[in-house]
Amino acid sequence: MMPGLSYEQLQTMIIADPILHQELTSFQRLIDLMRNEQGEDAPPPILANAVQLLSQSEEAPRPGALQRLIAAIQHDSWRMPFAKGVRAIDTGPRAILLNAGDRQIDLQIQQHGDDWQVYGQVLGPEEPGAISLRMGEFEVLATLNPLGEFVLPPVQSGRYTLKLRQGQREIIVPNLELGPNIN
Amino acid sequence: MLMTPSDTALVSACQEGDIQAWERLVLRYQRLVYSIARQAGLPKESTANIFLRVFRRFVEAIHSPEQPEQVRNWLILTAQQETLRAAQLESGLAQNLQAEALTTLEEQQLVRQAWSELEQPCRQLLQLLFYSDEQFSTAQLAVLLHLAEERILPMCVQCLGQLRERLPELSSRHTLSIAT
Repeated sequence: MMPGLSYEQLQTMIIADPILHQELTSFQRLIDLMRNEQGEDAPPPILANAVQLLSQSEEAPRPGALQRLIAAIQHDSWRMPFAKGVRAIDTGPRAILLNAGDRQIDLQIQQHGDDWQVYGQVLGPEEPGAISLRMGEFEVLATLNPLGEFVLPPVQSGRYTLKLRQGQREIIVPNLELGPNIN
Repeated sequence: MLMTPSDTALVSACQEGDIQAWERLVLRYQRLVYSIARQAGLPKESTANIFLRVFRRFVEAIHSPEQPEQVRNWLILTAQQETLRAAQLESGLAQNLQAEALTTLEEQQLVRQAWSELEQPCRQLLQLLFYSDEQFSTAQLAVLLHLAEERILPMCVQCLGQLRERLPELSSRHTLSIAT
């Protein structure tokens, strides 16, 4: 392994070069600000809630009427009819495919310790958006990446409403059950 | 040179309901707002509430006739107000952030934002040198950045120069623009 070089050693090397040394001195304040940064990033779940504030705002303009669609479940791997002789559902990751207008949502649900994590991809026209899971006052949110992929923070078992917002379109999946046993 | 939208452009886009512009604004200032509340010594739960209140008020402000022109100043002021309000409610648990510490936080936010707008390999080089807890030799940096080892130090100076060019406001406050 190559030996590490401390910042002080780097400075020593630069001091040996008069031109670089003069330059470095002029940057000292800048370097100090970077090296001694005291800032702290907001935790991801709180950040996710802040990102959602604009779309939740009553004051945000609505150039067109908001189109709300209820997604239809096209496929749920945990609700497949049992084959002859099979007495229990598969307990591996759960895959759900949802349809809503010109969009499909590919949901993957995986156990994460005692919690459940929802991730997946929105298939259809490329558009920025955000997806949320809500149960009562509790809500988690994630934004879509340019490929329409998302990863929501893990949540406890329960019955949630999943909401996808892209522009003036809102796709809702009511009563999404997350947990080891689904009814 | 990467062109990043100004605060004013992002606020205008937010007024049109652009969720992506809002996300950029939140990501640009989240660290500053969160740190102001956090450094006041409040518990994490209170800090989270302050953080969300500040951005909720910001949403209201950008849709009001008196929308904030100076986004950073507005957020700093509002974060301070909300922190003091929370501290009063929690009976003096928090300490008001000293002006000097606040200035440093603001300057560090300016530097981080300017750094995030640098192109590669400068962004990575400065990150490895000054934002990372690890220490790297010039040989390691050369491997990581696919550069000749003798290029590392001159490039460091060149990248710091590019960073400083993006910080005219900071330069006017301090002596960052000392002639070389």
